[in-house]
Amino acid sequence: MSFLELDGMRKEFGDLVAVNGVSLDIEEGQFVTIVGPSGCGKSTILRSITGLETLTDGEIRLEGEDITELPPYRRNIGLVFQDYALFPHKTVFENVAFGLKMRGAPETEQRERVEEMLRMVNLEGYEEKYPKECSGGEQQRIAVARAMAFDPDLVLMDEPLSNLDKNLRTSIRSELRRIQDETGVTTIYVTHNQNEALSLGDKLAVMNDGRLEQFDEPETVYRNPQTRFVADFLGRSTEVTGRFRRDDGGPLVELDGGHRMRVPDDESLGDGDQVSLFLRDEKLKLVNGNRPSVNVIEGSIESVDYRGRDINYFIRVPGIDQTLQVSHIADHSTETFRELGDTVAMHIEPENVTCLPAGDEAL
Amino acid sequence: MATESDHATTGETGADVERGYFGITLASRTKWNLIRAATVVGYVLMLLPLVVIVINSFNPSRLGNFPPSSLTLRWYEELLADTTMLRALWNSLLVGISAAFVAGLVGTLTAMGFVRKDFRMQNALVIVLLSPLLVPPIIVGVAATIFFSQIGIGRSLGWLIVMHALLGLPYAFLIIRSQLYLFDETLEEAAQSLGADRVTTFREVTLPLIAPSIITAMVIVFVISFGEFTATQFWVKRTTTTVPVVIFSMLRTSISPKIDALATVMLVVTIVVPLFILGIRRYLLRN
Amino acid sequence: MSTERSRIPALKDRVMENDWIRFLISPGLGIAWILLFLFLPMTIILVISFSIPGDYGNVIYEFTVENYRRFWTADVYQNIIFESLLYGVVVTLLSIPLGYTIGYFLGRSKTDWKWILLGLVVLQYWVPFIIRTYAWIIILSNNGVLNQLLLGLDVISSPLNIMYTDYSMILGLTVSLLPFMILPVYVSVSTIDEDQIHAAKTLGATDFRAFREITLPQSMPGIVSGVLFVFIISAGAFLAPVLLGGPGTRMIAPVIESVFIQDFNWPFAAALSIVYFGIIGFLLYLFNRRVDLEEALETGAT
Repeated sequence: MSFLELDGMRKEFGDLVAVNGVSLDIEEGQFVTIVGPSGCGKSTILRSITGLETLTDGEIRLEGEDITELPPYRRNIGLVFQDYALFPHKTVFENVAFGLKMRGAPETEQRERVEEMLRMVNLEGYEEKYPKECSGGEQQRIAVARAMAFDPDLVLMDEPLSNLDKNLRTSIRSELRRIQDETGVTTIYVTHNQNEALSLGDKLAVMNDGRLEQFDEPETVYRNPQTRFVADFLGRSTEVTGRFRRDDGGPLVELDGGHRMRVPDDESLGDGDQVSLFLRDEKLKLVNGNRPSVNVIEGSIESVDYRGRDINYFIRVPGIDQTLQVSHIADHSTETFRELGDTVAMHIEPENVTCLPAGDEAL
Repeated sequence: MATESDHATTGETGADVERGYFGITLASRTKWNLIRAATVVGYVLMLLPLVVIVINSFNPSRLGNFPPSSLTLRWYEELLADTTMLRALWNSLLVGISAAFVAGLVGTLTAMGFVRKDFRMQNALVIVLLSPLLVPPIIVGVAATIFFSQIGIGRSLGWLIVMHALLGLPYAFLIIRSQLYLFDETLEEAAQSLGADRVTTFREVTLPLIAPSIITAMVIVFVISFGEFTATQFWVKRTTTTVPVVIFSMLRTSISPKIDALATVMLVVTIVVPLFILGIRRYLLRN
Repeated sequence: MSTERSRIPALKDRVMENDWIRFLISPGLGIAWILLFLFLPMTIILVISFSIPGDYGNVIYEFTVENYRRFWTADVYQNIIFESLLYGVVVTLLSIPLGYTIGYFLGRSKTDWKWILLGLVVLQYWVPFIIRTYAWIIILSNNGVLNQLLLGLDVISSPLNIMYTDYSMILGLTVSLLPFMILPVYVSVSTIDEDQIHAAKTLGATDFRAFREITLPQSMPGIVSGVLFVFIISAGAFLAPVLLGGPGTRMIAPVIESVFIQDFNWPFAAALSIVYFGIIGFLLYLFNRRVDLEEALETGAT
């Protein structure tokens, strides 16, 4: 028996089938990410687990108990909303303490817990503020604190970072993971962002059109997609290894072969950490004309896979073991074709580089 | 048809801002001024009567020579001494406030049902809820009187409260519902996910946030109730009489500035008091 | 830890979550209120209209169409209803020009005064009809404000006898009901984007044509709403005819009142009410076919 069992979940909205027979087992303490395009049903699953939607069919069992018929306020499950849903007329303290208050916790206990939670999300001293006085990132963390304050059995997060700007997103993302590590609470995290999906979870569930496509560890899902959708969705990438560093220009990775690439920042990575970079084939671009200042790698074309609209170039780069696969959409009218043996330069935008700790237990 | 002179431009003045689209052509300006003039006339027509009443309430002359030659508080003194009027004032206030609460309560509960999910028959039900607006008050008065007498309920303040709440319900419903539309449902969902059952969610989250509209609705219902005459005249007896009924009977018997005094008091109650409450409400909202 | 809680659904949960019970309260409560205190009484007077009047307001429950026959055969009552509707139309027609103009002014104007003026209109709503109507007595009666003014200015030599006539009633009604026309018009005019009118003018429209083609059609909802309220209220008015009208003015509401209270003839009063309401209802039905009734009601009421 697993901690949380979703058994044949099905939800219909009139003619629309939002969730179509999804079954998942989640163990206690796991951090599970559900990823999929908009409309795939992932939010519906989350809301069903919380009890805000009632299932058309199927069961939800928590620690063996069937909670399918329970109203949301009996389920002891915390939910972080996409737009935070903080109570505007209550202070931060009252917001975070709300779950405790509902359960009859005495004031002293409320105070203790709220302080603890705010400390955990790095918002100490915010008790008397009102949500509208706080920035987006702060509000998001208050929402997390609120959802976890009453010690729920399960924490659900519905695309919590999608309303934040890019920089905040990456920094809070790692904070969330850290919090989950510290508290050990079972977490389900829903997103449409693949970077988050791949880097955050112990297990990754890919959903499409109401169905569960694959549920496994992220690396497995990524490397061995079981269905076309997953393969298409997560893309083909080339993986290269290296060491993470930071210099004046920002975070970068020194590849084992000597190349250096700029990568998106990740607070959890420190200087010298071993990392794996995933270079997606469609994000690697052949340099044509203006040469970008960073992340340019030169090599020669080892083989060409011509597919009409797409051309896959496999490029041998000195110092890198595998060939880098570049998936290229050819503009037949303007370009000249590259041929075997041609020297080309490839470029990938730093933000498109997936940078993961190598050999991390997260994978 | 536009002619050259129509498009002749003149300099912009501060008044141009007021005119909106009419722009700055000569002909346009004339038209706008005409409109302004008409508006002034309209306002004079609407406001003059009230001013007259208030001024006349200080008129020492019984026959109402206007404008009064001097001012006196005599009529107000008589008012304070007249127990019938005082009782009517008390009744009107009591009924008005009670009806406001009842309509506020029922209106809130009712409005909540319309905002959540769409259901069939919604439009038809809304028209039902708004029907008191369409039935001429005289008919409401007659119908209710017959109804209550046939089921054996005698005239009482309770009767008045119930019926005034009925008359005010459409307004309360509309006002509260329109704010509910703006209300963010996810706040209620968040509360529920944190362990608040429906009643608690309503109390802790929904109610505080829609309170402004509820207050407004209650003020409106009070105003309506306080001034209601046509239907109410059938529903009162000597001990439950209301201010409008008293004024009416005085008009039939003895015209004197005493009526104006009572009317002025009525004006104060239906205008100043609600404004005051709304002002408080706005002040609270700021914090 | 004190935050543990039972996962067993409590009884009150079942109650709270039950869809039927929730529907009963919301919107059920409001609907029940209206049904009980409006629809039911209306049904009862329908029944009563087919009964025989007893003494002093008692009703004898025997089926009869006497009341309706009386209405049908005596021209008097038909004329009264007809006149009421006619006066309603007159008042409405009078209130449209002035009411629309003011509403238009408020809708297009940009001064700061605008809000004060609007507030004054809203305030008018709060002044009870009885006071608004009574005020005209003071103004229009023989030694009232108007006459004193005109006499004082030597415009006339003897007082105008306009009190207690049709005219005073119409005047009183029109002015009292102006806010009902002004506000809906204001609402619909103010939602028209000014740029549309600017665009029309650049395309060659004169002020008048721009108004007719752009502003007027889009302010129709306001006019419609105003017409609805002004007509219904004025046709069924009680106070204005009684206080301001003369012996020759006969409107349906005072007649119903006199039959009801002075004659104690409940069934007949009921019959008259039903007939009048039936006519109004029919007119509303026709109205609804061309216009969305719900929308008009809401525009006017808020």
